[in-house]
Amino acid sequence: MRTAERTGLFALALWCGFVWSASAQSPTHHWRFGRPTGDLKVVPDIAGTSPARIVGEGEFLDSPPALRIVGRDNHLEITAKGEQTILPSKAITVEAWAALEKQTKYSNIAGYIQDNGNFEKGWLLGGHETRFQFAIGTDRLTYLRSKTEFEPGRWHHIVGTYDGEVMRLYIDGELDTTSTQREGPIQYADSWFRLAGYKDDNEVYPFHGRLHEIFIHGEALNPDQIRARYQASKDVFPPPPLEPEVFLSLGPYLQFETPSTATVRWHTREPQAGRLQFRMPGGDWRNADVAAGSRTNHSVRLSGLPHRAVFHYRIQGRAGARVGQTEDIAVNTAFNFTTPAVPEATGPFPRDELTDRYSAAAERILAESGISEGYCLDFGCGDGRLAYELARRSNLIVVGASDDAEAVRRARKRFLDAGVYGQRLTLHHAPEGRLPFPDYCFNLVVSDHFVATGKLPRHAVQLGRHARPNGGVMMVGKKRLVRPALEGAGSWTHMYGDAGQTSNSHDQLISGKTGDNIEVQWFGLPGPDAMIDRLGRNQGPLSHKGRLFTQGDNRLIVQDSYNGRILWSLEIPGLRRTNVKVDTSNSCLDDEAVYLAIRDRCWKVDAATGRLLHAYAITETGSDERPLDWGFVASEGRLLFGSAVARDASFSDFHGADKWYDKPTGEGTEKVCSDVLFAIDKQTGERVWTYAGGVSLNPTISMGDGRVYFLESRHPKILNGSRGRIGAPELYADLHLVALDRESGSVVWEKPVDHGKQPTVLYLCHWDGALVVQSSMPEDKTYNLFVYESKDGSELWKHKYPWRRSDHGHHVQHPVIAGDKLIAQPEFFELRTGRKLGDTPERKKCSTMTGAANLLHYRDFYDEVWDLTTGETSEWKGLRSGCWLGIVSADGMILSSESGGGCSCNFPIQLSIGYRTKNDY
Amino acid sequence: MRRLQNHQRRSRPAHAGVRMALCAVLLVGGVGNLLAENWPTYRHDHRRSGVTGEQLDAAKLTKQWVYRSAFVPQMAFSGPAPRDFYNAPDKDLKPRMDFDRVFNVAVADGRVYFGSSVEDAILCLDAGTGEREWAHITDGPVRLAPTWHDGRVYAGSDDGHVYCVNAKEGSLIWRKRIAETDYRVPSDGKFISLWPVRSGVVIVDGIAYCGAGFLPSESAYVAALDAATGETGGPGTWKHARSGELSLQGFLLTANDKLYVPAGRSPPYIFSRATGKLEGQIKGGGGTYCLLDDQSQLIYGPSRSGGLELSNAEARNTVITFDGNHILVSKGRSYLHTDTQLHALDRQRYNELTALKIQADNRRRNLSREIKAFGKNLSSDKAKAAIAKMRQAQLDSARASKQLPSTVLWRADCGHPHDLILAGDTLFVGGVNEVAAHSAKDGKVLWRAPVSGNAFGLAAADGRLFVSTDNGAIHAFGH
Repeated sequence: MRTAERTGLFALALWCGFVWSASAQSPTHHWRFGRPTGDLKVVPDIAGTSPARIVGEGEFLDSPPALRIVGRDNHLEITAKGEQTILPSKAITVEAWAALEKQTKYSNIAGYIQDNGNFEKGWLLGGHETRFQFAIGTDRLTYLRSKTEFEPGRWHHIVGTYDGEVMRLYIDGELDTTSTQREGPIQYADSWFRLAGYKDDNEVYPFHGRLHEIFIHGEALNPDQIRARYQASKDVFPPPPLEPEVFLSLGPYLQFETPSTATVRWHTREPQAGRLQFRMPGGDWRNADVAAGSRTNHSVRLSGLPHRAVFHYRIQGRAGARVGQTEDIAVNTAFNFTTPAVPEATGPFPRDELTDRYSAAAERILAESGISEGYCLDFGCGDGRLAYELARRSNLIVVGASDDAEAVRRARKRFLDAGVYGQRLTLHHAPEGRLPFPDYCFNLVVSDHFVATGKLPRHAVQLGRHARPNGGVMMVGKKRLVRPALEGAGSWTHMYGDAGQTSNSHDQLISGKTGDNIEVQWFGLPGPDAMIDRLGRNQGPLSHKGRLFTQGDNRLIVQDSYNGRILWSLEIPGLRRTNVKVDTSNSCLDDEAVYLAIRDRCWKVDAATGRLLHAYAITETGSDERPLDWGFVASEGRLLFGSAVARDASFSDFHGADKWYDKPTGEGTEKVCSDVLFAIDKQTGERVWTYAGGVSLNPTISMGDGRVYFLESRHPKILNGSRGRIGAPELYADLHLVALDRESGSVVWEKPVDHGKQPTVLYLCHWDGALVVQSSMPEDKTYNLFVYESKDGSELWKHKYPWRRSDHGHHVQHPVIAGDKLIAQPEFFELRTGRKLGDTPERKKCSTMTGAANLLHYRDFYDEVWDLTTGETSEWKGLRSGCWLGIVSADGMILSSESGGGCSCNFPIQLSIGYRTKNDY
Repeated sequence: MRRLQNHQRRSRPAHAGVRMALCAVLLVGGVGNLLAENWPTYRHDHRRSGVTGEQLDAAKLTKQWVYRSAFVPQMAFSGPAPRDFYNAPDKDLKPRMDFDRVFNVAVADGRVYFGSSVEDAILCLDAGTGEREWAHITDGPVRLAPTWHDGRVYAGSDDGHVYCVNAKEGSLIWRKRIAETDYRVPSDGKFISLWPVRSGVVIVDGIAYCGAGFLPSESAYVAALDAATGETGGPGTWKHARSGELSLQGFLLTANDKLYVPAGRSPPYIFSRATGKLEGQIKGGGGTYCLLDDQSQLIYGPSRSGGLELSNAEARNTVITFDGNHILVSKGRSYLHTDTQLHALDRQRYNELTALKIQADNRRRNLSREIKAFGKNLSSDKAKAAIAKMRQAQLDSARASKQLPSTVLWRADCGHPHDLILAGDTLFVGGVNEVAAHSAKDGKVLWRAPVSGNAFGLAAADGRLFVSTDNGAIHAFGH
């Protein structure tokens, strides 16, 4: 320890147990982040006695020596809250060589701070969105933000000084900005002394970037000193790497293929050799084997993946002579839902005269049925030979059933002894052919008995109920029977049910009461670990043709709606879109595909397999020449509809109390708006029409009767201002309701409208010739309904009424249209006349209502249904679908994806679940 | 299927009587550590204490065999959400529904019994060799460890039935469906009853206790069956259906006249053992790690904050909290197991101080609300008195906190956070690819050995340490 001189520093009881000083430019603390020679987790304090401990993981880099810290789980800790450390008080200089890789709210380089309401103490140096910031707390905190914007990935010399009177922020050797708002000694309160991350009592923010060096001085260095220090080091630092989007045109994304393998795919803008690095848990970065040659479409198969563990990968690429790489992408193999192969070690059957017959039968069944995923019922399974051959050759979970209990017992033992029983193949005794399973569970129904004898099995009359509607195949007997869709079944193809945004599947089959005629059909995955905490008001589930599409956290999971079996999943960095109540969702379905709006493209992904079929691109660029993002997405007939929004205008965060997006005003209630709307021919990929009128409000884009409807702002301030996410009140000052022809994009009609000053939410939906605009107004805590004729925009009726609460989603409810009823919590009306029909059932919690033709499903405290034909409500006690739109209906099913994961409510279980109204098959 | 790595095959004494005699002889000869005890149910007994008198000479333990299932356990539930970003954005949530992470074992009379969540079976291994002796296949996953009692093995299955099989051969003695209805639905590759038996089975005085039902929207059942026949109707037997909100999941416990049934993420329920009457639910956090201490107080967790809570059947409120994953209670000590350390605590003193602190904190919270109600009018006598009381409560809490460190008898670094048991005077801990032993006297590390996978299930019996890991392996270490 050096000798102390009590001049510039202040001793703080408890927090700062020592008094310390230094001569000019002799720092109090100095950390240099080169590759360590000793403890890999500790960066020594060259000038002081406060080593920085790496919490989580960091990556040491060369040229220049640096430590890369990325993400919420990783940072450097000097001291935990309450521990002693040495901190300057009268004056301070915080100096860093750092490269911030991401523009985030608080990308903190170094800090010891408490900023909790009016309680503001300490200091920090770091990034704030696109700029740098330096904060000093005396009685209050002042955040000094730089005029200079940082370029992600570029090395900068960032210095904040405070001499007791003036705060100064220097960027790259030059004075950038100053403030005299603070005076006197820096005040401290118990906190964490942290590098590469922000933490105080109630907030945590991650760091994304690289650190080369950090100094803390007990004096305010002067401009000459700072310039000299910058000049002395600046040549060490190379220019920044390429932003990934410069060399990447799509992806990367990952699809698990087997329990130990996955394929990563990506497209580059220029032909080049693909390069992927990966790091298994506890290992170092390694290069993956990539196919030789220059191309734009790349794929790498990763093998030997660990069970339930996190590994990382990143893509490297080039544009011209410059190189760059993506951020490190974490993949948790707990979300590998693929089906394990049948162990092959010891076959349960000897090779005999039946071997070829069963092999051929299994291959024929699989080929002719086209079914290789889901559940298979082998009715009259004998000793399980066909079941075994089918399981070996497919991803089917095969369930054998026989009315011969002794045969089942023998066959079970044979399979268990061979090590193949249980996971892919089970056998069950079915007295008189009866199985205690719900209808519709099986994708494929076969019979070993028929293969063996050419005759139908006993009790074959029981078979009919088992095949899944809408594509389930029965191959018992000589014919291949495919079960059609259920008559009266609906679909949920868009965020709010359909492109008309009615929040309704219009499914005729669902009705009744829980615990009575509505029964559980399946339960299980996905669970809370796969999802966004409390959903963050993201894209809800979609369902069509017996498949359920659920978006987790940058992940798409596709299940069979009738048995819950996960068919495929994709891990897609950048997929997540939150707070869609002020935006549009990012996904829709048609018969063939799921469409995903990701960055500037809309991916068309095969609904059955997860294979990327096409990627449609936005051709326009923004006013600042930056690429635009794909906003709205909808599908009707041959056309795919889209809109273009300013880059990163959509919300994507969900980490924090305010990222539940429940506030009636302020941050999170801005509306995401589109610059242009367009339609694309799905087959050819050609643009059919483009509309570029005013600024259209994304949550209002809706379709019906061959038209596209939306609200559009034409206020000059909006038209000439910054685009994308707009919170300015003028957005609502010159508002027009517009109807375009769906096929041509030409304006059918338009009219100026006044829907209030600054609504929390503003929705538009279409059904049966009526257009419904609903706004919720925080100023008087009301909902406002405006209903128009869709053919000409003439007003049918309007109504204003109070909302029930200003929190837990009661003020952001999306209306539901069910037949001639408009349900707009807390009241419901006749759609075309506005006659009030009653009040909606009392609801306590967060989600928005959704429904079918005759029944609404939603969350009260528990999940609940409201039968519109009887007016009765009933609930599923102890079950919750989550905090936004978590329950949909389609294909005769009510489908609830787990979506309340991180919530503090003490519900006993968390799972996804499917229900069905009992009826005769 | 399983592969066997037979490091040191030991044959099981053919007859229990011979075995006892052998033990007696050895005792006389001064080799007391070979006096083998059974581990007849999950965590040794129906209090789930994790404490056995079996004394293993840790330093001499070597790997004897490894049973490797071809399948990793297929858990009923996935993990929790990563974090509660609303309330505690920097703290990982701990799993509260992981009662079936490994193939937990019961060990008795030289045999190892476990259930398989993949092979839907109750399985039995020779404790000396790891060879499979028998398997009894059910119609659904068997997620929780069986219970051995008097030559019989009892287990619950996700098919909704309780099974009683012969411990030697695995032949069925009786099978009983607990719910009225047999209705099984697809769930992640299995067909599972809406009323699976996920409580384990507890045998007391000839009665087999169990619970069935996990979907809180459906009825749940708690049953006391005649352990000999599986029937109800005789003395001490009963079966009750409870509608609404009960989710019975996790190893059932019993002490005195109470049954305690874990309820997944929710707090456990308390039933009368004599009548099956629901007496209430613990107030506090949930979690399926539960044990009853020697005063029949329930310790359970992990709570939302990741720690353990202690409650009693009368108050049902949290009276003590522990910042750890596991706790053992023995001879006036508590052994507290955190992610990184083992602590031996002066149990009485720790409990007293923690109870004082919780009382003081509760007082402070109540007074704070009271003071808030005064608004800006804090000059009244009542307000002043309340403020004074709140300050006193703060002081009491701080004083108790300050004294807590003095209750620590010893503390040892421990990087094996997954499981903890006490065998004689040795603490065994399970971790990532490793198990270790610490002296219960002073915490010193006595032994370490590698295993494959995360060691979430430990048992000590029959002169051996059994380690169940999350890749489906069961390891046996012996002398």
